[in-house]
Amino acid sequence: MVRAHAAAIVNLARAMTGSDTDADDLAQETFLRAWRGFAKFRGESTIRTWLHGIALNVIRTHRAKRSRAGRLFSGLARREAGDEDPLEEMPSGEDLEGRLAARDAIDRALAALPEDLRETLVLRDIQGLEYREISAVLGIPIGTVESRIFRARQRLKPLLEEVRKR
Amino acid sequence: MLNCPDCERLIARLADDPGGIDQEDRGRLDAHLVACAACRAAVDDQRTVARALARRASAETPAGFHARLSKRLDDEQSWLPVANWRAWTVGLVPVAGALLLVAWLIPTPDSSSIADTATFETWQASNVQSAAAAAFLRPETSGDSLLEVVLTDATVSAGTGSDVR
Repeated sequence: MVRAHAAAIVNLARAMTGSDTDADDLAQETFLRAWRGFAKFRGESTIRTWLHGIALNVIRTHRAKRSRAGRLFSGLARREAGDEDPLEEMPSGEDLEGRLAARDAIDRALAALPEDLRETLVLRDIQGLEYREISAVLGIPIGTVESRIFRARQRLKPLLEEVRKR
Repeated sequence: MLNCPDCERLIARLADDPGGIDQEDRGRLDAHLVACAACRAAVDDQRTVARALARRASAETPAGFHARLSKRLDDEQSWLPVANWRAWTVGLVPVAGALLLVAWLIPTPDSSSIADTATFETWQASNVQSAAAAAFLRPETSGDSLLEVVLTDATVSAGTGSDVR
């Protein structure tokens, strides 16, 4: 199970956090929780859907902890980062370095979305889950999934304009 | 006829999963798109973003990921018996049995010897030297007589204290 789904869960965590280190830790935690709770898995969803649900819970917990800590250091962070547009330095190119840099830029753009929109869009456009699977993972109606995806793409589009041009 | 907000969720589908729209909705959406340039532009925007995200390079599984996870799972399994109260209970059965056997084999002290020495009167006679304490311990002592005894005893003590000074 781990070998079949590790890459997808790491990718999900990377897209949601924008950090390779966090993605590693969160994916590990996801599989630990899956192992502990495997007895509760009733087969009503696919393993992929079930793991994505666990991963999102792990990521939300991580983000909540980080945002609490972030409030303490928010002044320092602003001074270090300035008020840069997350895509201002968007790199390009088909080489590996350019693709990785473009991924960083996309993930920074995703970070600008509200969490509910980001989760839904990442599950659809990056993880490739079906609409009904997203509905099951997030526990929301399919109509809500569709409308969240519409709004997320509309808000992300200006930020991704540079990526599209290159 | 659909209005623009009604079309949003259908436009999201049209951009990446047109087969997921049923025939009736598709007909109404197409009719709206013919008449609405803004929604046609929205379809293009939705497709643009979906393609850009689909081209995003996937994050690779970090080196050593499986080995580290395997170790953490092993560690977790080694702690599992500690957290399992049933395993604890079963494991303690021989210990409890041994304790019961030891308790049964050790002879108990003769209870009659304790009764001879443990009466209140014998303890009082050997330990209570102060008249006030003895009066305090006697159940028939009244409050006035106890006060008198205490004052008398206190007077003696005070005298002893002044001698010391």
